[in-house]
Amino acid sequence: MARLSKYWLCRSLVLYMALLIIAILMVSPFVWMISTSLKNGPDVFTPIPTLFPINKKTGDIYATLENYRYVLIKKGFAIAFFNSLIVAGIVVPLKLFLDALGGYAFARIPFPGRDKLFLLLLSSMMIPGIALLIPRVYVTKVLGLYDSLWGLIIPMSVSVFDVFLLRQFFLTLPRELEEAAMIDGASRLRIFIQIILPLSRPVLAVVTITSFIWHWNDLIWPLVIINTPSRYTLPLALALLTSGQSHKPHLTMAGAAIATIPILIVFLIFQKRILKGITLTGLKM
Amino acid sequence: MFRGTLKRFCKRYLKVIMGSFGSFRYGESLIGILFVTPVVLYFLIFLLYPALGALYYSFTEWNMRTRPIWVGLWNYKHLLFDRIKYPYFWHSLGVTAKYTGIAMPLSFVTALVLALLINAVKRGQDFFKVAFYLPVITAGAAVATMWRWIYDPLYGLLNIGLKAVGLQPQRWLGEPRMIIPALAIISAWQCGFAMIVFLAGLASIPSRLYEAAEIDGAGAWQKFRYIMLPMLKPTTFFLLVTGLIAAFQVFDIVYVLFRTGGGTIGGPGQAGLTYVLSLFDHAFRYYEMGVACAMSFILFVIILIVTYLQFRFVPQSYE
Amino acid sequence: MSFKRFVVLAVSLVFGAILTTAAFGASIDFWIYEPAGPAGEAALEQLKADFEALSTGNTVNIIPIPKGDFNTKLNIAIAVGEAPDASYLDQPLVAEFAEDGLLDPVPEGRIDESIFYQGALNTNRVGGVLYGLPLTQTCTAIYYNKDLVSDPPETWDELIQVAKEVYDPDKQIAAFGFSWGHYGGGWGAWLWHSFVAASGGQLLDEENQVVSFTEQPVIDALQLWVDLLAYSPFEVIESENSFQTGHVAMMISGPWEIEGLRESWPELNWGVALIPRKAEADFGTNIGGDNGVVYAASENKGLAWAWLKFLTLAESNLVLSRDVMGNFPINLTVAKGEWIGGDEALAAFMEQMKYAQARPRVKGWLKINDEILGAALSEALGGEKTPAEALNDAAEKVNQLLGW
Repeated sequence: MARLSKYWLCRSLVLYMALLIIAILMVSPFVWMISTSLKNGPDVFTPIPTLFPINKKTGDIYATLENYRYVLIKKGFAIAFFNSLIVAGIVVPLKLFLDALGGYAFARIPFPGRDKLFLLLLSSMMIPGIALLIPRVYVTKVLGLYDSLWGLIIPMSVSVFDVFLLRQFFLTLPRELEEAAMIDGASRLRIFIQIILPLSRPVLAVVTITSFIWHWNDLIWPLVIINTPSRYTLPLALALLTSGQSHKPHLTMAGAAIATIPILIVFLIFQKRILKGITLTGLKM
Repeated sequence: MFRGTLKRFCKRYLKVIMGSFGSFRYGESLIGILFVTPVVLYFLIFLLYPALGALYYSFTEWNMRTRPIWVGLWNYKHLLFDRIKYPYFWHSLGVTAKYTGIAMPLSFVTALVLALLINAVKRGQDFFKVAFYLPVITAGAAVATMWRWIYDPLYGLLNIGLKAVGLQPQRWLGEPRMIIPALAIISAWQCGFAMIVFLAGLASIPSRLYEAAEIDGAGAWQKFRYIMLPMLKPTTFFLLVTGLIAAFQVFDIVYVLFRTGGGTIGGPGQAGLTYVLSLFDHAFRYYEMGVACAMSFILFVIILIVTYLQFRFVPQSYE
Repeated sequence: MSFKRFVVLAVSLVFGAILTTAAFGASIDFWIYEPAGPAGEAALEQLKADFEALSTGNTVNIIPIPKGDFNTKLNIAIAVGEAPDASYLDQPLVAEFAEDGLLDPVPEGRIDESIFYQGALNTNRVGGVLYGLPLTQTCTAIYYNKDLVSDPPETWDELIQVAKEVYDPDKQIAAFGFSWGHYGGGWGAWLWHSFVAASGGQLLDEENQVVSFTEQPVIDALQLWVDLLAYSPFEVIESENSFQTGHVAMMISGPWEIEGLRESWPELNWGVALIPRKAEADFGTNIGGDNGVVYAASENKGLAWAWLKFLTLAESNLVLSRDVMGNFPINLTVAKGEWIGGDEALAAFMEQMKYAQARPRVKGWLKINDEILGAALSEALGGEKTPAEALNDAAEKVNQLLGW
């Protein structure tokens, strides 16, 4: 018994050491981003990046919120934040629902030509987006969505990538649950909403996180669709923060840090669901 | 010109829908079709139509400002065979293949190891999940700055480390042969997405399976080999297919690292000129949208073949 | 009378004639790169307000677009028929846009050509016709570390001499570096053009349709860079900010470095000098900057031209180039003015600008610059070919491409 617990102690020690070292590697750019956002302009560039804001002249460690103040009161930034919230707030749930609905059918409900249709859908992922850009903008214009926030929502309301991911997860769910429900006379929609969705929390969380991040950070689509500055989204406002010629990382990083906060919140909320393992009953292996 | 195909497509599906009111099987079909209708509609409008448009442009000479001029297969022919007009076509394909070959396995294994590590500890899982996902969230500019420093020939962390153990410092982002490995390391470092997908996959494994295995006296390796690996098959398959597509289309990392005031370039000796970076240059730096579209479809065919092979030979689920 | 009111009055007098042609109550969309910093933004707002005060009832909608993505957005907008009325346009694109029939030529008699820097104005000339107005300009010169180089070289012989003296492998000090560390590729080729100009050569003779890569001045310019590399190890010049950290004695770059050097590297003792010239040649450099164009499809061309012309007038051009964009004015009266004060770095660039040589204005030049010239540079600097071989091969390819 004593030997066993010693083994477990060693094991956890090694594990945590490894995790901690990797974590430092992963976190340092983020820390640098935050620390740079707290620096004054002159202290940003050093031969070796400093993890704390250090005054070059006096050598003191300090922190300033001036960059945040500038970025936040800067005209358009607050509106951009709001626009991004609206777009992400509508598009992420909409997309999640449509993708899950489709993914479920592709995984579980047979209909003629289903798998061929799925492969056709999948093949659209293989064409580089740059080639599709202009015809897409054109369609968006024809639909009357050009230069509007709906133009950022409707053309982004489905993701084949997510359909594929969800389908793969629905494939792992045991069929017995659905079959039992069907015998009880439940409809497919009820099965989908009451059985499948609750069981799929981990993957739904993954999709929510990743599609939120994707929409939150997307620059190219808003760039080509939106002309009116009052409809600019956060990535556009961020790109406009620093000129191509005078590079000001402390401002960029303050803006980027603010833009990261909603992502972190979404991640912190949903990541918990990823590990909440569900105990299934009646599984056959 | 696409109307005929579209009509036939619609007719066929209408028939299925109309016919589906009859038997139970057709009823199921109808529901299936209804479920995928939004996705399919989106696909037709925002993916298929643009793709057909791009296909048309690939047969034209088009600078986006005047009407496209039909040139037939000219773009394809010259991309593939004219080394003066398109000197970097094969080069960029090679760069991409090399990148995919190194970056894919590297980030795949990293993601799986990280997920298993997190899965193996009891406390602090949340912290490590957030920590390992941060590289995906961190602003591209910050990522580029940090990695440029790590790879810096004079002050870089990597070279300081090499010197400390008595090895020769390298020009990581300067010497052409080092660039692809350097990029692949960054991509492995940014494997947070694959990691959380693996975690979600692991979370979906019913705990009864482990319990049953433990009763049978299975050790950690056996549990990994006989429960986790098979149960992760659908996840793995998804990550393989999408990871490959993403690696073939890699763009961001190079763009952020080597982008300069003079435009987009592929770094020293164009060693980092990936296929899609080159495609971007053709579209929006040289204004050869027809050529860019042709490049898209050449890549499309390559990815299609590779993906087909994956669907054919890689198991998709554990059943 | 305050200075500002005086300016407004003066400008409105100049304007009288222009405004009669502009429709009353019209509005135009003007696409511009994002201004440099908060002061630039305020300055741009002020320019717009000043103009609208003059051009009563008309509005200019200024639409800032991130510089790095400007051309992507512009071309897509044109492709789907959503071009603005007027916009910034990269110098090398003016010729291509004009040939496509997209641009409205500058109306006859609308402007006084003599107020412009001719180098900048000529970047708008296509087949003898002006298709745009220069708004700001920039060029490259040599930054040198005063602690390492006491007397900046004026000729190439002196440059090599200085390079030999400062090169110190033990202290990791290199003689000559390039901004952003890149020595080849499209960016390197743009920088290198300055040395071709300072060699008395040119890249293309467009009128006679001759690729001049193989001429001695051009080969010499590349040979010079190869020679300089002997005193400039890659592992030093490729380090980030190697000039700023004191590892590089001389660096070729543009005025955009000035602010950063002053703000972030106050310890560094630096100066700006003209690009050294070949003994028998005159000084020379390349040119960059922004032009303003009006689109043929615009419904308010009159107002659009009035706005662009306003931006080229002495006072407003100074505000636009210095405060908004961080570049140099194209209006000669301002350029001669006292705004530079005692600023030696700005004065050096202003002097260098006089010797600017426009980049070739043939179709597809950007691609030739990146894929052929940039590759030739990489080959020569990497030691794969001699400068003459690399340039000969490049010239052959360009001849085939252009059909000359």
